[in-house]
Amino acid sequence: MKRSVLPADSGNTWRRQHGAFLLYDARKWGLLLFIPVLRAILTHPETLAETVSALLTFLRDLGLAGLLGSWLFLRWQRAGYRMSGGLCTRRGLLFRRTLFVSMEDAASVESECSLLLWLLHARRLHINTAGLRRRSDVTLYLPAAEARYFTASGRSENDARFAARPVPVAVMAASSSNAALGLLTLAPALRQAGRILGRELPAEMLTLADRLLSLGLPPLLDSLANILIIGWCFAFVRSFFRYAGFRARRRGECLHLTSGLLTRRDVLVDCRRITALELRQTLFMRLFRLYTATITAAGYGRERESRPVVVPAARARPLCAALDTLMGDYPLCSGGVRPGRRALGRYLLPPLGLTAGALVPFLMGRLWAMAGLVWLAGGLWWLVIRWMGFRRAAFGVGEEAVILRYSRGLALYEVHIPIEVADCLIVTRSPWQRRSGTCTVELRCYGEKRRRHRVRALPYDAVLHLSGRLCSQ
Amino acid sequence: MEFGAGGRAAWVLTLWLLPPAFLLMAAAGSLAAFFGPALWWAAGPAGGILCLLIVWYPPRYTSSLHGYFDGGAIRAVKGAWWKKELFIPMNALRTFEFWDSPLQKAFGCRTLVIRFAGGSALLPLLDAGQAARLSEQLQRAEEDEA
Repeated sequence: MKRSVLPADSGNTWRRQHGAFLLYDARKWGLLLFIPVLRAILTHPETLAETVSALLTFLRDLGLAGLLGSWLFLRWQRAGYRMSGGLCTRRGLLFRRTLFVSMEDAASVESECSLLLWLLHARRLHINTAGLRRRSDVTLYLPAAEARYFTASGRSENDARFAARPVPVAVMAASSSNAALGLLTLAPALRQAGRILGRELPAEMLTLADRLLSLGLPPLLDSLANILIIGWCFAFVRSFFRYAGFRARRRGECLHLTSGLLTRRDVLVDCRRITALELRQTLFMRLFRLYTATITAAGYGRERESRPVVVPAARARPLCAALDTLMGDYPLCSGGVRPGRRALGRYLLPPLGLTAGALVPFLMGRLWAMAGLVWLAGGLWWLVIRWMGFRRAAFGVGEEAVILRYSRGLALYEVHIPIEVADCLIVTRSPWQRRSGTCTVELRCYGEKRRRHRVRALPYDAVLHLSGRLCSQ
Repeated sequence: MEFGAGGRAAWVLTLWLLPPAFLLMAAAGSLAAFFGPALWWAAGPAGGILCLLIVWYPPRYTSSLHGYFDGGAIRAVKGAWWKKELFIPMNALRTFEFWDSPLQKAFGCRTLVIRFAGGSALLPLLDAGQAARLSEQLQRAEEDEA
């Protein structure tokens, strides 16, 4: 019998969730409970009538708060779950909701342990099926010991393991933030450094960078840059904390992923439900020859800003070794159709247009020179990415998998999709492409974020041949 | 089997395009009336181009819409300017449905919606008879696969 990500039956009895359920359930209403306290603090009765009125109001608020508390308590008491042929949950008082997830349909289980949950000896479990919902199918609050029953994939010396070091995780967190924003945010920091150095060093020792920066960001841009640098730092810290201590373990059909510094996450993914393996590389990562490997699997990486990582950042050889260890049986495809030399213009024209647009702020005068410089740097950055994208672009159909290599935004992607989950191939031809005999290929498959994989300016006849192969298989 | 747009599908498309075209014309006219007579000159050619599109685009689109189903995959081509070719393997098909609006019924057309795990594809204005035969064949293929 195939093992599901859910544990075996634990009997037919309904079990109650941990008290943390009450805490999280009360979050929506919690502020209302402060009304009597606030009223008691803010009212200053002077006459007897006012005192009596304030007392009655306080009692009424207290009564309402008590009712709300009782209602929340009853909701917790009536919310339960049981494992019998699958996972069955029920919740709600007036509107009763019972939900059943069968063993075979459960695609992933995620256990979350924040600081608060750790103090309460509780865990939050998300159980997901392969649907396109934005939220988890089931969320449970369980005592730590019971939660371990769900996430315990068993330990063995023969298990395939991978652990990420902190430096690659930091590189991935830094590169996943917007590079153009990083450039802009660097400006005020350098300017400030120039000012500090300027007090101690003679004026002629000021660096060219400081002189450039003293051309001046307008005050509004300066404030904006400061806001952006805080935002960038925040995004970096958040991402780093999320993936710090990343470990992956493979046992049978289950991939067990663990990560997080403050909030620890344990994710169990059914390997048979992985629909895509994606290798991502930004320009910053390319300089260090690093790749990030992510997967598309139901339930993993469903939240906004999260990345379904398998290997955070690694060079080609360690990456291959890690993927062989964790996903040795995953089908891959090498090589394929590439765009011709004539298609180079189609790749480079948009960034060249953007770069040329940087001339406008330069012509507008001294005040906008810095904005023009940032614009130019951003345009050149994109130009380099598109040029690399052109050199690497490919589409291929093998016996077991499909490969797509393309650039999107400021990153390069290589995607391997098992042939049985390649749902729909769309070949688009604009009037200009019809004349040049090229086309744009788009492949659709299941994904949590409905991401589309698209390769531009490929030779049409070769693509048609490959599409025939895809359909016949 | 092969399938394509219905004989009177161009009429359906023209009737679909007319209301937005009228709204656009009304908006352009209102802008011209509000900002001065100079814009009437811009509104005139814009309206002319719009009328031309309504007359020229529907027959082009319907004549380009065609495809075939060989039991293993659905292949279809659509689009007047941007040609879009769809290849959907039978094993990827999750559900399919047909839409009939009163207008489509009146002109003997149907819209086929093909749903797969990664999204859906739309084939509008298919000939009603061909759509019925396609539905039967798709059902048979799904039963065979099951």
